[in-house]
Amino acid sequence: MRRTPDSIAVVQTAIALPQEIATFIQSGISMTLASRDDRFVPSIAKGVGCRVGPGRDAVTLLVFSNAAEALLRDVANCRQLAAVFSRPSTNRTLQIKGRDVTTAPAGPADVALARRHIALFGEELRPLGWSADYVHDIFWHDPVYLVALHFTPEGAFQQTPGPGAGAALCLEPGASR
Amino acid sequence: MMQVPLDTARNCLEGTIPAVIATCAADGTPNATYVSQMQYVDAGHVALTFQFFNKTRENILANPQATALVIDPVTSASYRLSLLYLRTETEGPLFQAMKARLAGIASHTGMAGVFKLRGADVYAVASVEQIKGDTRPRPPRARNLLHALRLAGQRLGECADLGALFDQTLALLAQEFRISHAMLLVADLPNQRLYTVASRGYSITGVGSEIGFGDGVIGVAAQYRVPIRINHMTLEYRYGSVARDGTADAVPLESAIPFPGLAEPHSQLAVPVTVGARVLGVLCVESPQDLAFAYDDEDALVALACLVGTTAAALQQNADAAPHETVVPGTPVPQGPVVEVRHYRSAHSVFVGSDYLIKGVAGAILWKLLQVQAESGRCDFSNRELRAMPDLGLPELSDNLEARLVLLQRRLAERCPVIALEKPGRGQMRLVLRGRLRLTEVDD
Repeated sequence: MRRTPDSIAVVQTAIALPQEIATFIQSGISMTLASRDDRFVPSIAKGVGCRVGPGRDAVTLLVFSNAAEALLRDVANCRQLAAVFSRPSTNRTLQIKGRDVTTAPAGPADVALARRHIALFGEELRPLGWSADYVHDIFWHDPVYLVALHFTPEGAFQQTPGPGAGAALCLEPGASR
Repeated sequence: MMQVPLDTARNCLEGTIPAVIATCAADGTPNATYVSQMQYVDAGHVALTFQFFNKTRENILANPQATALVIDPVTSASYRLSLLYLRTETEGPLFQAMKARLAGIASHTGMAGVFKLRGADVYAVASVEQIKGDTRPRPPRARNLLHALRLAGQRLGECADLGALFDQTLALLAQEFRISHAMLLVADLPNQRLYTVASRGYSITGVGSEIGFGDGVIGVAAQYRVPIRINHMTLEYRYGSVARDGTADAVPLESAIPFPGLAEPHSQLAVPVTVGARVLGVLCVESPQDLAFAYDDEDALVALACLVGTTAAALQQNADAAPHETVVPGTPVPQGPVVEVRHYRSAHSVFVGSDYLIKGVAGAILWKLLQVQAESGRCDFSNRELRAMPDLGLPELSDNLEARLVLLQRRLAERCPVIALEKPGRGQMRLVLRGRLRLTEVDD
């Protein structure tokens, strides 16, 4: 079996997302998740909610499993993911790389978070000409399919189109784990 | 998992909702990136804009496997595309088509000056999977494009000459394709320019106005022989004030016939009219609305342009093959005040009174006809005879002589009440004078 970086790494320093980034990714914006299989074939799915833990060194993303079958299979196997976040009205975009991904069935608080996220994203898109109904139709599925992905952020990168795209964003030292 | 043909997901590729692409680095780290534009190439390929040297770029060069997610802006259906990176094109038709569309998207999203196309990354599409979820019905189209094309095939075949073909094409666009703003330009290949021969839906006809190869959507479509379609208003592909109002100093006043296009088109589609590998001209349609023309419209107009090209070539051949008939001596000498017609030898510019009429090959032809008429009283001429006149310097048969005659005929009808050019039969033309002329040759 192919050895992945996280299986090689013995000690990894915990890092924390700056408050500003934590606020941005929880503000009801576009989010897309990627992982990959053993043959390095990528998988992709839309996220429908984001929660950053109190120490800002743990992130939870919500996906609907019926729209994310390959991605869930891949994260269970390689435990790595990338998540890109973008605010359409400003084009501000950043990507977070995560490791140690675990999944859990969503609880009532997660369902409420997904509803709030989709509503907020609808508000974000309304001035750009999209109806809240349309946004709901794209993202919403039966809540029984909602799954929470927990992961540890290990890097963040600027992706707003322009010369600064790709630059690593400064993260803070996190609480020891 | 439901597999669908790529054509099903083609509406997702209009750039309305950005696609997202997932790639994987050589060390196994996944990556996700928004993509400004994914272009439908054919039923088995798409192309993505390569703008910045980013992680996606690094990844696909190391591991060509990619997966993209696209969303239909109307039905809300989502699709996952399994892709394999093949190559990057940094010039040519696909590159130019994507560059133009990206300019529209950039301007629409406040990214003008930031988005810059470095290359078109071509991917093979291994499979397209529709992601589970409710979708909305697609509203019926305002017109059936396939039926419109069927009618076009019938009606264009009935056109007896090139002028009728040009007018019928624009009439079909208005009536059957419901496109209100359209123009047709013919290529002057030796000079790498295009001149307008017909338009519809504008305040001026612009007949005789010119566009250089490579200039705006029309010039790029002609130069690269590729449809150019832009879904939003963009300054980058606007025709400058030179072409529009003819006031720029750089252009001699006489050649500045105003261009007929919309001042602020929000959608533009320019399709080359070709016969084999040769560009005959460009058909261009516009709309004041964003997103007025989709992939299906582009397909339909490319097919229409093929019909126009084939029919035009056949009509040109017909006209050239027509025998030179014995001519009837001149018509009665017209009465009325004398009008001066001046011919400037260097550019063959012709002025009637103080008004610019025409230049170039069409100008030379008119001057020749007027001279022969003045000397011999003859009013009837044939295409074959014109081609045999060495001092006209007409190019080989490949030249669009018939189109130049249509241009001349239309400029006369618009601008010169004392001279008319009639087409009494195939490959024939008749000079009709409705006033007395004084011909003045100017060496400039």
